[in-house]
Amino acid sequence: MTTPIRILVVDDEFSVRDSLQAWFRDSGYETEVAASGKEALAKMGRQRFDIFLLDIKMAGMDGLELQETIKEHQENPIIIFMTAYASVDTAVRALKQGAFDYVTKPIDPEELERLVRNAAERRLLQKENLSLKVQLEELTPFKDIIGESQPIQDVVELIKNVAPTDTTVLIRGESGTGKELVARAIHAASPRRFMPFVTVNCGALPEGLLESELFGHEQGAFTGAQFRHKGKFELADGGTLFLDEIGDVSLKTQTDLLRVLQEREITRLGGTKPIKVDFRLIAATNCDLEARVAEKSFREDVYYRLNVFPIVLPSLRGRAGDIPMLAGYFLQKYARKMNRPIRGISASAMALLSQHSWPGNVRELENSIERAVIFCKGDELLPEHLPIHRSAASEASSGLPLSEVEKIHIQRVLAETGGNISKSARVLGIDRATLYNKIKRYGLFVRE
Amino acid sequence: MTPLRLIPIGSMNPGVMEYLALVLPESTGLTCVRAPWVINYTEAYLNERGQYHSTRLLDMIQVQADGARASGPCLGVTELDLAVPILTFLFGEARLQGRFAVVSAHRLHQAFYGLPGNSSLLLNRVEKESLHELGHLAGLRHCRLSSCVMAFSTSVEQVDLKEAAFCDRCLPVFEAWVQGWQNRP
Ligand SMILES: Nc1ncnc2c1ncn2[C@@H]1O[C@H](COP(=O)(O)OP(=O)(O)O)[C@@H](O)[C@H]1O
Ligand SMILES: [Mg+2]
Ligand SMILES: [Zn+2]
Ligand SMILES: [Zn+2]
Repeated sequence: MTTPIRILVVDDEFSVRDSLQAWFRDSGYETEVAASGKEALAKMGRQRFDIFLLDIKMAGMDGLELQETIKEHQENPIIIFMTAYASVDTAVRALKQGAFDYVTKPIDPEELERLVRNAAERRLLQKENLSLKVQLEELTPFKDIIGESQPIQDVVELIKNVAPTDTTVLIRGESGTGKELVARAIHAASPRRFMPFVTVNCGALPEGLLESELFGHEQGAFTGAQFRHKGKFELADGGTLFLDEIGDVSLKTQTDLLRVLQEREITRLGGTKPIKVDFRLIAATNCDLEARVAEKSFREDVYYRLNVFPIVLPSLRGRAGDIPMLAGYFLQKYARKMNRPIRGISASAMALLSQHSWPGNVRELENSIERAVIFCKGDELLPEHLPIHRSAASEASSGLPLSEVEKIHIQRVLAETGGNISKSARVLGIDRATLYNKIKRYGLFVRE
Repeated sequence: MTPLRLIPIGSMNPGVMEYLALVLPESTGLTCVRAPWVINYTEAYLNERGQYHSTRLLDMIQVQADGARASGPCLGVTELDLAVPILTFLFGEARLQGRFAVVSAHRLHQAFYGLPGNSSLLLNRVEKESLHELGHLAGLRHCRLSSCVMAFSTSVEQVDLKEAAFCDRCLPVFEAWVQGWQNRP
């Protein structure tokens, strides 16, 4: 790797130097501090800095004077001023004299982070630094897509072709075939890989919250909105936006979406000024969009905006030859995760896996193996560990209210996992916090 | 095995403490104990700001730990709004490769942003930020992968993008640190 960005913080207050040094250090910048202009110049004599963060008001040499001196010593220094509200005028003067930007004290962490990131990017451009490229090449985004069958290899080939572009991708396939996995792989192989990958599960969005969730809101946009809230579009800026279950969105939301996709800008609720957003769009669905378009429950114009580069994922039935390889991969993954010395899958268990029709596709297979690893006490997975064998676990549950069935089921899984929240949550297919809340609600045990 | 100590600071939702005590041992491999130390947090009050100086809270945790001859990692957990004089707020603070960290739930509540409460979301966020600060204790710096728990977040939205897990690059460092404590008496 090439040399990291070096920052010099100059401020006469100890607490400022101390906090900012720790803060930048955590982010991986090399940071030095100086309590005065004089000390700063002494440090500059010993090493070069890429970014300077200067307090405007300091005893002795103030920030503006220091800026002039730094410019005499070094070409194109990137200087950011820190200023109290009262001296914003001075900061503006500093900008005119070539400062990169200024922040007001106390500093909003988000603003500082953005400023320094921009400054660092500018610096790297100046240096024509190739470290980013080097880092990109170290990643192997396709290694998580398992399968040697022709259908899945064709998919990998498509991903490789489309990833480096900014083209909108529409991923089709049954539930559990790996649509999100593929979306993440495309992002991970794209130039946007170090920017956020933001998922919006359109099927799960409650209509009322949807707008605020997607567009965000300004402080005071409605009662209780004490602080501004960033929407998903904004969050995806610079990165990739993944709209999952796109077939489920209402016509009203499709209209909102269309506007964002056309304009590439959004306005927060309660806000007035449009904000530019730059994201690569990937959408996924398992429904028959063409039929929806025909019956007018999906807008044709939205459909064409999405269906630019379609990728259709094969069902697991359609590539049954990959089952042993996938099963082995998941076994290794979960045995390692749960620290179990399981060597392999017995021939009869493998036969059972290969014959099953897997309506839930790879997700169902993965869950089955994960569950089997939890229940397997020996060193080999046997048919009896597989849920496809132990069907009808809920013999006695017909006629019970749903909540009672849920309670009994959770209780059983907790007992089977020895009260392990993480394992139980995985078996149940919910996150740990949700499980914890259900345990509380049903008054089930909590291990101490 | 040297345990991880969880220290509630100020009045703390018992559910949050209980949740952390349950899941952190599973996700880190460390045993967790709750330390009944009294942290005099009013001494860390920042008058004009109505917030609490997180670095001072770390100092106070250290004093208690020294007094109790506790040698392992210590994580303060609080509802107080944390800041340092130069920054408007912090979700948490940790000493890189040190033993003391603190995490605040204050700005992790949906209600803080005018949104309907969501207790699962809150617990997930507190867990992620706790793991993040523990990662710093392990010597990890911020990770460029926005899904890694060591990604830097200055907003809850960014916290929500992370997983409650270390990426393949960060995990070995964290595991080595955990093992160090597991091997201590
Ligand atoms: N080809 C594959 N190789 C390895 N794991 C896969 C593959 N396809 C799917 N999976 C796994 O199956 C699970 C479901 O995949 P996901 O992408 O969520 O499916 P979908 O979005 O189509 O419902 C995930 O855990 C994913 O990692
Ligand atoms: Mg999906
Ligand atoms: Zn951090
Ligand atoms: Zn990481």
